Amino acid sequence: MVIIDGIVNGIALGCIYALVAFGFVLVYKATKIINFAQGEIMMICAYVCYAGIKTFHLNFVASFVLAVVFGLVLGSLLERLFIRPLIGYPVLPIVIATIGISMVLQAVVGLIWTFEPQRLDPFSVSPYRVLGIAISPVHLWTIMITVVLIAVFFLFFRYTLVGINLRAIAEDLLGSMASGIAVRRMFNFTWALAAALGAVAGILLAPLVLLHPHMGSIGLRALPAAVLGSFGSIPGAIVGGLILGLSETIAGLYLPKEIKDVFPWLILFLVLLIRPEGIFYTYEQKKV
Amino acid sequence: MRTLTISFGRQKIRFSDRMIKEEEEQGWWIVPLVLLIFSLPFVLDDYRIYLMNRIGVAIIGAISLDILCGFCGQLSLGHAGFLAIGAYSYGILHMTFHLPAPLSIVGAGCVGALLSLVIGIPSLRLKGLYLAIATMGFTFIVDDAIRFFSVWTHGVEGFRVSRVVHFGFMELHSGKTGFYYFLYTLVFAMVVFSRFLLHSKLGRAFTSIRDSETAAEVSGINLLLYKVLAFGISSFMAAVAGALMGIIIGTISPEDFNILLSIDFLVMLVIGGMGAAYGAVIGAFFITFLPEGITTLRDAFLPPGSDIAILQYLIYGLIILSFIVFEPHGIYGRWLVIKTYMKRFPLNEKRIGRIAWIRRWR
Amino acid sequence: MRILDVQDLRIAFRGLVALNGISFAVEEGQIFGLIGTNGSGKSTFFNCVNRLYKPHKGRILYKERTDLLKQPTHGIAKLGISRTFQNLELFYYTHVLDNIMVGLHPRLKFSRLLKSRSLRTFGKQWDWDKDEAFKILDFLGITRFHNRLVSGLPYGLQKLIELGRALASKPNLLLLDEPSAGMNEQETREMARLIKAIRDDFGTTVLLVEHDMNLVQSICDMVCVLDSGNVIKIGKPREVTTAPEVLKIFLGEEDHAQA
Repeated sequence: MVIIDGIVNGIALGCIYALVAFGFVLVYKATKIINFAQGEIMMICAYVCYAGIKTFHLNFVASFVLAVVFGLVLGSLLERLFIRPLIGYPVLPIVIATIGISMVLQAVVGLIWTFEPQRLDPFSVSPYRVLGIAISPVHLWTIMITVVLIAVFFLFFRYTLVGINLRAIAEDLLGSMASGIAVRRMFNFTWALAAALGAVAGILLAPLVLLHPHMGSIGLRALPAAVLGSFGSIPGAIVGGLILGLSETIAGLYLPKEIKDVFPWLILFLVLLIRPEGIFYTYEQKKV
Repeated sequence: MRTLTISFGRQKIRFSDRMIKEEEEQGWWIVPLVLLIFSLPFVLDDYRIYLMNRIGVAIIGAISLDILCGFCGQLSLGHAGFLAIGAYSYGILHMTFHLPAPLSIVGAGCVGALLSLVIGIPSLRLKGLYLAIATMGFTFIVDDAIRFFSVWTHGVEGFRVSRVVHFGFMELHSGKTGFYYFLYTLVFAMVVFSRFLLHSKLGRAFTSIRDSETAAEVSGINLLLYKVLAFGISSFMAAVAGALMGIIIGTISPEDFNILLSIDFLVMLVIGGMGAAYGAVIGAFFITFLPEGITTLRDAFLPPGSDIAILQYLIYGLIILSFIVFEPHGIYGRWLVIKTYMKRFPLNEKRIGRIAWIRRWR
Repeated sequence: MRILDVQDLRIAFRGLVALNGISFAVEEGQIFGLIGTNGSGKSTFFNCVNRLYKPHKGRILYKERTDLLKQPTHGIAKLGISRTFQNLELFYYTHVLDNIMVGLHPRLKFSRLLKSRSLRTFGKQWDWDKDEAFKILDFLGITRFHNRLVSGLPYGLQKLIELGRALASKPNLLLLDEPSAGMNEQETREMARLIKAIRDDFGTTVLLVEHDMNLVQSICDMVCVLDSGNVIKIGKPREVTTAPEVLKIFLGEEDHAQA
């Protein structure tokens, strides 16, 4: 039965990876930037939720909402302050800028809450029984929330005006600008949305790994998932996340600890060597 | 082609048949700088010498990254991995297999260059951000491999490396001035080498790849060969830097070579300026001194005993962000702008510039 | 000697056939024009010669000996074939001189990889490289721009710089992709004069893709017309531009008796 537990764990972990990868790909599709601070945004929003419970004595749901709202605001602010001035810059300074943001966020969290790990356990510990399998509530909620979010976003991108605008920008920036889409506002909104996603992922992750300022580095581990799913594709990110989470947990049962630690990166190298375009790649020929 | 050279003090203006003003690179600063650096051991205390040694190693590391990122345009977050490979290779070759130290240093460099093929060959298919992610993964994997093979590397406990380098009859201890001279001879050699490289056929091939791979290819530049060469040269130098770092510090452990070190070097390039080795030197100097400055600040402002990590992260991150937003070409870039300004003084477009600046903030 | 012999070249992009088995030959020392409507495959053909695209079928024989399709992309320049691009591929943030010097690459020997003169002229550019680049700039008449940044220069000048880079490798075959695009009458005449001079002074065979019929008429020895990936007609400029099937493509169904 260990393997069943492993599968459930893997799916739950995969959901979290999927959410984080989703955040990465969302920002990448719209603005062609990889936000290396996505993990830290995830972390600081989880801390906000923690603060909601411990400091302001709100119940969990209210703290959850608080954290998500904080994420929206934070993402929007970061975009406006640090990314907007850098539009058009080459890749390296922007990568370093997002790394810089991640450092500042870690420092701010350390300043307010110190570097000691904290506990964030909104769910009861006793496992539920579903179909005769024991699943801990955390995992169950993780999977459920992820499924709901994916459905919501699917509808959002398909049927709302904003969603369609975002897809348009991702496809053809100049054309979108010419069609009158408020591109800058859309960029801002994308970042806010990605940060909110990060907030959810962070809150779901905290019970599993304890809340501490270096939690954000788990966000980086989701990058191979996005690469696996072909960076420009949202379904790819989700599928990639699930595959990554599942394989990492299963492998972790049988392989030594050190290999499990860097499992995402080994997968990354494998993908990059065999098929760097990822699973969902569409064929493109550069016109010279 | 006949030329006529007129010297105004330091500046040389060469008029050829074409009657165009051509300018040459000035190397007049080398001798004074060498004298300055080589006289420092007489006036500095041991701790400052140690710092200078660390700066020397940082310079070599930063220049090697500049060759890869600044000259050739290949974004690499894997530098820490190559330094680690160099340090541990030196440790294993010298301490475990008892090879003589100079040979071990070169050997460490070769191991680094060899392992760079792991990234160099796939780099053909990986562009920009993908390469960044791949090299980041490389750093994590190397870090992990060090822990995994702890039989050879002594893993987390630390690998004690001898601080003495035997050069035939000379015995250079990394705390004493002999080693300092050895190190800085290497540093100067590295700077000179990189400048020669920049203006050579190889260097021009690198910058062509950076600026437009298509144009480079149709001009006959073999992308695979030159990218592999870039990674190879860069990793060789990085591995040597890593070995030297091991000699200076005396003990090496995986925590010394994590992703933060890779970021450190990239930040050196961003702050100092990429693409011309001088920026790397400036950046190395800056970043190595930074922790010292932060410690002083911490003692001045925060209550004693506070966790330095917070302040370090904060200041580091803020410096990175402010440099990128305000001075993306680094200190050397700003210096070049100033130099050009000075050359045209007083006929600069100052007024036009100011109006444009005001308009921007409206 | 036929410097370029295209034999049944075919390339398709996932169902969109760009070149449908075209064949023609270019003699040494000719100025050969390739004309056709947009999308007829002219630039695609160039990209095939350059090995930026990989065709599915056919051969391109260079100097009657080498099959270009078996060469790697960077080997084409070493064989003596250079090209310019319709959407310029220049290095915008370096000097004009640096851009030209890139073209010298195939001519430089590996042994001179790292050498320089002396420590006094520390880091100095190779005199020889500079001389060669200046010769090209002189030939093109743009010497005075040698240390200007490319990004600040007008389009016509940038085209000349790209031409300079292509010439730097002393090619036997020069492929020009729409040399007169974006140029006015006078600049086009200058370009025509230049192309003629390239052929006459350097002995380079020139293969042109062009839209400007006047240019084609004035300098081309032979012309080949492409349409939708097929060769419609090959012949002297005058023949081709008055042939009815060609006029049908360019002007539509009704016949107009003009060149």
